[in-house]
Parts: sequence; C-alpha cells; structure tokens
Amino acid sequence: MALRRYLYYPGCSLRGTGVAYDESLRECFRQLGLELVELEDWNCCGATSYMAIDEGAACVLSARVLALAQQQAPGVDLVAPCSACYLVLRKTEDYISRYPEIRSRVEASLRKAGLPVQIGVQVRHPLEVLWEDVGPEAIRKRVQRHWRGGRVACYYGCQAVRPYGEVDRPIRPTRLDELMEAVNVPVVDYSLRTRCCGGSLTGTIHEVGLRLNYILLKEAVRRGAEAIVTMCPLCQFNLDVFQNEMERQTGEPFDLPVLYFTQVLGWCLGAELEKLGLRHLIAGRDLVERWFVKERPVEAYV
Amino acid sequence: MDFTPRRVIALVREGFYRDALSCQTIWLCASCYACAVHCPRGIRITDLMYTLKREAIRRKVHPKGLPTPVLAQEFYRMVQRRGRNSEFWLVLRMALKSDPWALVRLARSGWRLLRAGRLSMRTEQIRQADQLRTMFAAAREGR
Repeated sequence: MALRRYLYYPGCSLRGTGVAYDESLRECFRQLGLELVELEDWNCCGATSYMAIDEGAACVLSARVLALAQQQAPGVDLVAPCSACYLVLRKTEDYISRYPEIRSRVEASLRKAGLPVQIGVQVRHPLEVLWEDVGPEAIRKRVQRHWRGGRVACYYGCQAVRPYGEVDRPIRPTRLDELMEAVNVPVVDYSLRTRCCGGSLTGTIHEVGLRLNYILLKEAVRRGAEAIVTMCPLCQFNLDVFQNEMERQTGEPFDLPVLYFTQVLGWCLGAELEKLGLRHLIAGRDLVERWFVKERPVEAYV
Repeated sequence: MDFTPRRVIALVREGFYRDALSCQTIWLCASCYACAVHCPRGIRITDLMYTLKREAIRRKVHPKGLPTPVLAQEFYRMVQRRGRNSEFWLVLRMALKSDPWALVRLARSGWRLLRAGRLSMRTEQIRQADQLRTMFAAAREGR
C-alpha cells in the first residue's frame, strides 16, 4: 500500500485525558501505512465554550489552525480525531464561506499574522479516513489477530456525525459497526449510538451529565454488549470515569471497558500492545487484560 | 431545566428577553446538534442557544452559581492567553469560582485519572501566543 500522508491535529484532550486515543491512533495508522505529521504550534479549537462567549473570536481561533495547515502542507488533509475539534473546524469553514461579516474579520486577523488567507483545507475524522482512503475490505485483509473479547456497542456520539460532518449519516450511522465487523469484532445493535453523552456537563452540572451516561451504559448492557467502542475523547472520558460513581448511586454493577476504536482496530491489525494506550483505561480492567493479550498472528497456527 | 427549549424560543419571540436570558435551560445545551439535524424546518436550535448564551454573558444575567457559564468564561480566558486549554487547571479554576464543594467529588475522579496516567498538570501553551493575540485584536477592529 502506498504511504499516504496526513496532517494531524490532536487537540487539547489528546494531550491529557484522551492520551490513549493519541497513542492508539498513531499506532493504528502506522499499521496501515498512513503517516501522521503533527501540525506545528497548533492551538485550541475553542470547543463549545468559545461560541458561547464570542463568535468572531471562535472563528479566528479555528481559522488559525486551518491557516497553519494551509501554510505547512498545502493540499494535505487535516485529521482531527476529537469530535469537538472536527465539528468546530468544519463549522468555521462553513461560517467563513457563508457570512461575509465573519469572513472579513477572519481575513483581517490572518493577514495581520502573516498567515495564508485563502484556506482550502479538508478536515477529516480518522474514521472517515479509514473508511474512504483504506476501506473495510482492505482492512479485513490485514487482520492479524482473532478478537477474543466479547460483543461491543459502537457509540458514535454527537458532533462527528452531525450537521457539518461527513463521517457518516447523522441518523443511524453504521460505518463504525461495519469497520468492527471487518476485523471480526461482534457488535450489538445499539440504538443510542448517536445520543449525547453530555459533553462537559459531567464537569459542570454533574447530576445531569451522570444521568445521560447512565442511560447510555445501561442500554449497552441491556443489548448484550460487554464493552463500548468510542471515537471521541469526551465520550470515552464520560463513559469510562464515572462508572464507580454510578454503581454507588444506583446499586447496579457497571464495569464495562470503554475503548477507542483505534485500540480495537490496532490490536486486530497486530499492533504492539504497549503502543495502544490500554493502561490508560479505567473501567473494566479485568476484561481489558483478558482480551488484549500478545497472541501469535493468525497465520502461525492456521 | 426551568423552561423547555420551545418555551425559551417563545419567550424570545414575545420579547421577554430577561426571562429567556436568565434561565438555566440554555446552559444545559451540550451542543450535540441532535435538534438541528432533526428539525424539519431546518432551524439551527444549537446556534440559537449559543446566541442566547453570548447575550446572557454580555448582559451578565446568567444564573449565578451555575458552573457552565463559569467554565465557558475560564476556558475563553485561558485560551485567549495561552492558545491552549489545560484540562486540570481549567477544571480547578471553574470549581473554585463556582462550587468549591465540587472539589471533593472531582478529587475522586482526579485520583482515578492520575493512576491511569491521564491527569497532566502541565500548562499547555503555544509557541506563538503573541501571534494569536494579534489576531484577536485585528478581528475586533473588523477589517
């Protein structure tokens, strides 16, 4: 497979609580011969907070990221693994083209900073890259390990599949499920796949955030899932970190591994175990240790 | 949630701005855009909520003691200055300014994150923070 190159915009979460996503994404892409070059001196996308304060500043902030990409590698796609970053960058592109008022502000700021004003950067989510540039069939052919874990619920979350995204359709997306099936990981029919996890609400209005995640976990269990597969650092965080607390409050036992799709995919493709960031997972440790083991490649005993 | 989103919109349409802007509802919107993709009339309810949030903060009528607007403002300030957000410091500042008792609960999840190697206390900063500041100033001036 020819080596393809992408610019990589990790975003703030992947530097902190989402470090497992960063590690497993890099390893997963390496396995598939996709090169990630980190965008130099990238800044925060503004997430959901900036829009709540100042629309113009929010667009300027993400425009700098887009302009840096344009400057550092014109014509190369920018991979944004965090759903919030992905949505915000695409929304900014949309706003710049739609509203002249915002366009003139953004252009003035870019000109002042000596950055390119004409921006034509394609922002993409890793799931979109794997689906379109590699494809489930090609991925199926590269499977090196037999999945030994249980059934998983694929959780798409909200922002990646909503109005500005092209990851999949907004209602009942299936690409993550199909990608999991391509590497022989059994999935359950998870109807809450695009229901909101509350984002930062678990940190602000905690009871509300907790309740949203309780519903998501409870339904996954009821559908027969033993783990949840996510594609956003905030979803993973919310579903993973508060299971103890839910157990205390409801008396129902919760101990589900909440995995990044890049961890599952990476393992199946034969990645080195240490590079998948599995030690950063909090819930369902027993299962994680049982499922993700160094196994001989399939060919060795077929 | 004190008002349903439908009622918030009705309040705005009828000119009861103060009621609409000081409600809790708008701060419960997590920007998941579910309403926006489902609305048969293509109304961008999420963006409407953003507009109300901005106006509430500008007029300083957001509900006091609610951590969400505090988080938004602290986030804004941090990124304005350093270009990046440092999760640990952001959450700490938010808790201290809105509900210090929440620190007890936060300490528990903080400990779990720390053990899993996911809690970084490093202050993230971009190299060209001054460039970003120049950009904000230029955008404010307009063109």
